[in-house]
Amino acid sequence: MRATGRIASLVEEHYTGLYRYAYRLSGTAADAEDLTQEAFCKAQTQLSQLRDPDRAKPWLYSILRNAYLYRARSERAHRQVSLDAVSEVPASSPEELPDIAPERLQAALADLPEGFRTPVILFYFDDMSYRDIAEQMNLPIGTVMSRLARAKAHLRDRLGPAGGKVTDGL
Amino acid sequence: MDCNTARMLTTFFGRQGTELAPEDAADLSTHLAGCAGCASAVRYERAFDDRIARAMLDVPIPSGLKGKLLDGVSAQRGGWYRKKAYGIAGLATAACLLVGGIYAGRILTAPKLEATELIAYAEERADFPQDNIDSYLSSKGVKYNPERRFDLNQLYDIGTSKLMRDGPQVPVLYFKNIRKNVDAKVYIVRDSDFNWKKLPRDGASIPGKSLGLAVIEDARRGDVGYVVIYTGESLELFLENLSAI
Repeated sequence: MRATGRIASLVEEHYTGLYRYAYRLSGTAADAEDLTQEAFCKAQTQLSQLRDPDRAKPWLYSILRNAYLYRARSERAHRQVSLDAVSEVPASSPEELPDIAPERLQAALADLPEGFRTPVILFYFDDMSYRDIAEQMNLPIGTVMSRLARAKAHLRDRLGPAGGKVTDGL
Repeated sequence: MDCNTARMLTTFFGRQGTELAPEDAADLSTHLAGCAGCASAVRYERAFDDRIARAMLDVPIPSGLKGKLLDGVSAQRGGWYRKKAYGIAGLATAACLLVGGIYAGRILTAPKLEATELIAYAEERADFPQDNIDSYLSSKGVKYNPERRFDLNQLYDIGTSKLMRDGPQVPVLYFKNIRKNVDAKVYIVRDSDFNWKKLPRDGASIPGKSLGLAVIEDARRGDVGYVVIYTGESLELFLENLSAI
């Protein structure tokens, strides 16, 4: 398949997932759109690096995350919570869990440092495995599991039945 | 397995329950079957994960996004092709300038032709006095002394050339009968160069070919012969006395 056709089919197949991932990382529709475009343009220039078409999705996600990190580095650090005080173990019954509004989720994600936000997003996106996340972030799998546990505990604190209590501390 | 271990494993259970090692998963399953508290915690964890996952994916896709993205990559590609085209055009221009420069340089540095020198040199080449021929041929180890005399007024060049594809270079005299517009090459050969004595003395010509062959012996040396390749109807056109016919 020619490069033009390949990139078009990548856009066709992955643009919704990539946009959602970008939105959850950046928190705004405009940034998400820019990041998605940037990721596909970068992918187009590096298309020869994609040897295995089955790895297109993690490859694209990795490109997008790098683009996001590049932007985030040049922006002022925003307020983030400390994860030291979050609870580790769920204490309520499943029946008490309310539905979670996407905007509340976004607010809770925005409070997480990027190193914790990314694994938790990837974890819930298409059920990415710990190994895939570790590969994406170039981290040991143990680090991914630990960050995920803490990030999920933070989300439980913010979004669970007794949610809303933000723990400041950075 | 105690409850603390079970709760910890629950945390790392994964969305599909496939992240645990098979033996840990089996131990956890056994523990959950007999522990209502931990079983409830697992149900909570899964219910929470499901809700988060639903919310996580609940991002409306802007209308026309796909078109914008395709336009974006297409515009980038267009930019490349333009850059590539400019690059190729630039290279082509540079190559033309280089070739043109070299050509111009060769023209500028080529030897100049002066009319007077040109004519003088042509006259010098056209006039081969016997002395010149003798001194040239003696430098090649032979003397010009054919049994039948060539008309030296027709001689226009002298040098060395190959008589056959394989074999040494031998001295050669170039004659041209301007009136008849025919010419002859006279190769001066020795026995050590070629076994020329086996050539027919009365000459030869091949039907359909416009060339004739003649052999003239040297008047003094038996090992030297003059092999003549000529155009025209007869060798006589290049010999003294008859050449004016």
